[in-house]
Amino acid sequence: MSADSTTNTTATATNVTALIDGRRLTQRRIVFFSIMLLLATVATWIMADILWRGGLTRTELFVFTLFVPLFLLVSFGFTQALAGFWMLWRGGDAVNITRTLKENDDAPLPVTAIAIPIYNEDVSQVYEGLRIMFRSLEALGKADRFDFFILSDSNDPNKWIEEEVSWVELCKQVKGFGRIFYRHRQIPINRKSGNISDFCRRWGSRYRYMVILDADSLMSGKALVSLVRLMETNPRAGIIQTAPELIRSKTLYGRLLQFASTLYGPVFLAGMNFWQGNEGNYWGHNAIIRLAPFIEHCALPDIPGQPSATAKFMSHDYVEAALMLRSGYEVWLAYDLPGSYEGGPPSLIENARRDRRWCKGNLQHAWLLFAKGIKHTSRLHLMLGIFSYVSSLLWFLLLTAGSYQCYQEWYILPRGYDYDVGLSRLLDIGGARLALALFLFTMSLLLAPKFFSWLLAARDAQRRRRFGGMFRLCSGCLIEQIFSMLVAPVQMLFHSFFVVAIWLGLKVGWGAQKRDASGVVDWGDAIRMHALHMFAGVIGGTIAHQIHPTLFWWMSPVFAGLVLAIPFSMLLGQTEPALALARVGLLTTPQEIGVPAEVAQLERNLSAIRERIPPPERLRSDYGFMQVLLDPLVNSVHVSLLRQRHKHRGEPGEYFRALEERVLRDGPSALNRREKTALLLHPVSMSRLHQKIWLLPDSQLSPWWTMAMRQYNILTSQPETALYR
Amino acid sequence: MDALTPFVPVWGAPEEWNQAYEKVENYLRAFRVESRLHRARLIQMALQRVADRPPPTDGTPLTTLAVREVQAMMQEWFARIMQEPQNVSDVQGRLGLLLCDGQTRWPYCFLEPDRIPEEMVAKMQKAMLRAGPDLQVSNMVPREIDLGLMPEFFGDALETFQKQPVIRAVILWTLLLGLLGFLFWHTRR
Repeated sequence: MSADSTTNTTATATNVTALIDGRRLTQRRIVFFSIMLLLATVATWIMADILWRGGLTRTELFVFTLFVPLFLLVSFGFTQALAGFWMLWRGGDAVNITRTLKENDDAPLPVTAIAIPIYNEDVSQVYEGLRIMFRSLEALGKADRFDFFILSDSNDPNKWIEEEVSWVELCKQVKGFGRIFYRHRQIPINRKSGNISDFCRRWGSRYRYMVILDADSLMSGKALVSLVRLMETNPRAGIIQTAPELIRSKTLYGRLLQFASTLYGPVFLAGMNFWQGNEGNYWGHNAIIRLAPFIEHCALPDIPGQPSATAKFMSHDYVEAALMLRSGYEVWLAYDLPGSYEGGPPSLIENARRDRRWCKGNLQHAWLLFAKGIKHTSRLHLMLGIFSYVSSLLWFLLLTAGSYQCYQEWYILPRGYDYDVGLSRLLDIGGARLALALFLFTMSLLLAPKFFSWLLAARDAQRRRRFGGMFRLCSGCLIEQIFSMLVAPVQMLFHSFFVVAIWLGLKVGWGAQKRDASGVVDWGDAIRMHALHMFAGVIGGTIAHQIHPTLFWWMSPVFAGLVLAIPFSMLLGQTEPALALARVGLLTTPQEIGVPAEVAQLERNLSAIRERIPPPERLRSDYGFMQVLLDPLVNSVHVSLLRQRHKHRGEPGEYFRALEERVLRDGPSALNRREKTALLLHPVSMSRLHQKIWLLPDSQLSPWWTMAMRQYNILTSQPETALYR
Repeated sequence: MDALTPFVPVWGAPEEWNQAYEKVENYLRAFRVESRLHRARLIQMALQRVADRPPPTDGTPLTTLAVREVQAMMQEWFARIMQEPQNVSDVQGRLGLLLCDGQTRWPYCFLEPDRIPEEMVAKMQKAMLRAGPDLQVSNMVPREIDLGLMPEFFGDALETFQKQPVIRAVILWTLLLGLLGFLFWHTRR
């Protein structure tokens, strides 16, 4: 299918391409990268001057080699924030795709697919989010212009059944049959990207656009409609990515992230838009995609050098953006489009688990760095993704090599810092003071983005109030700074370990993400994950102290973060301290003071669900599996869906009969997950087991089933979802 | 609703009939028959049908006979409503009952031979689940991409590296020992 056949080519009058031509974008980039290089050059010069005391030792050369790319990254971050600050200070960027939205635009919308790929997620959260979006679209009178697709790859039998039951219930409640669909993949080939590709192959050509959401994503109806209108207005836009705001954080870590991303995020996003323009990036969710070019150009290539010939990129989003740009379409960041939300990781440990997956995905992008036909901006995006993890290893090496160099300076080499050359001689301040100046310069660049963000909030009375007022805004910044300082060394070690482990080819799992805040960290988890950090902190601190107490005190924030990693991680994963801070209005964000209607409704719905009485403890671990065999209505839903996909599946063979006998005689715990899934995939087995469970006398059934039959009906009047009945 | 008539079985121990009652009741509750009165009536209907038959000669327990009877009643009822053969209509009937909210909207109609509202019949017959709209298949295949330098330099090496855990371990140990050797040498110069 050609892209043009499904593209509205009439609405080009105000499209954003007219707002930014290649020349203007190039000018922006020249300014941007010149500032970045200038800052990096100054710092590099000072560093070289400090290190060069009559020549460079091998250690000094190593330190210098590490310093240059790391400072380039620092300088890049600062310049991006500076550009964003400048744009926001002036009242916004003229080159902004959301500016092409027309007021009172009532042109008919094409039907758009909203795809929600899920994998063993919290079902209530997914479906309640969907319900809010559906209702929000209904309120705008646009519900008939969107089809929702829940694309499940769940391999947990309980989750699978829970998803089916919830889908039917939701459709009944919102009259969503024919608008909300549920598809479960038998074999989750190529994970999330394979899930999306499967959707594209089956139904992609029915739609002009697809909005991709994550399991914890939420978008207002207005934002969804705006995205479609933006696509209609800008026919060369292949992907428009929104900047989702973090919501519903309950733990201290979650609230710190939420505060930081809300306060500091806008300057970075505006700065990113400044230099990337129409060659932006895609972050995998809360984005709209033009399906025709996506299907035609964005199928992921295989990764060379993998044991499996069909291994695909784990982090598909960056690659898809690069392929979209390669095909001649544009990728935009609608950084100021309101109404796009997502949940954040609730703890440092969960964040690390997610990072481990992302780290592998980003490292795989190295394969594309020199690919032909890829835009240079895409190479930069890929490179930045890689360096977001590799830089941690480089920082670690820099700190280690720097400490060793100090040791050499103090104990081995005949010359010290006071040997004056170059700049320090010119300025007559000595090497040590020059080093202090470089340190202050680096810290300024690191902290300036936060200062820019604070300034933007402080000067705007309304924004200031939405962070709780000036005092709370400043206190929040201070608290966030202290915590981020202590978290940074732990993150550095996590990332360094991931990079090395992945280079050594160790396995990286595709586990479901914990997205809620209920009991996320326990001492066992914290000790397992952070014992090495603590050990590294103690050893590192001891060595540094042995080398010189001054070195120890300079590096003490790093050692403090590492030594305290276990209790600190525990503290961050708790809800009580977060609540205590929230009670006095600290770490408050605008989404909490003026809660968006959709977020408030989601919160109410989820609270109501979680107040329900859970199923008895003994049934909980196999609740979904029990429900599908015991409950005649749930069984009918499951079998009907199976029959659609396996119309001609005959009588089950010996293997299935043996499984059936075992599950009846010994209960669900006698089967492993794979065996349960095998049974769940066979419509005849499912029907037969349902009949048999009710027909067989208690003496021929596992006592678990007898108990389940008696208990199942005690609480339920509707076939509600498993854990939140 | 008809008044309950006395139930006096001529065979089977009272304990067995009680167990059969409980099993059928559980089954009907799983069908969301919430009205106790209606449920009691249906249970009695099923048990009466069992009681009207001669006692089993093969030792089949009464609970099994009772559930079998109620399942047969359902299959007949679904087949009549769905106008399909019993083997097809059972699953479809249960699904129809769920989707039309039959037990909530018409709480006294389940398994009733008469008095089934036309709306209920129509809704049950129309009920169906669709996992997605009609397929409109597209061909989504990766386009040729020349990855340039990376596979040329690293492709084979990486493949060997990933397939050979021994080589991985050797490299790791070489790096570690090299680092220790370097530190040892440097601290003694």
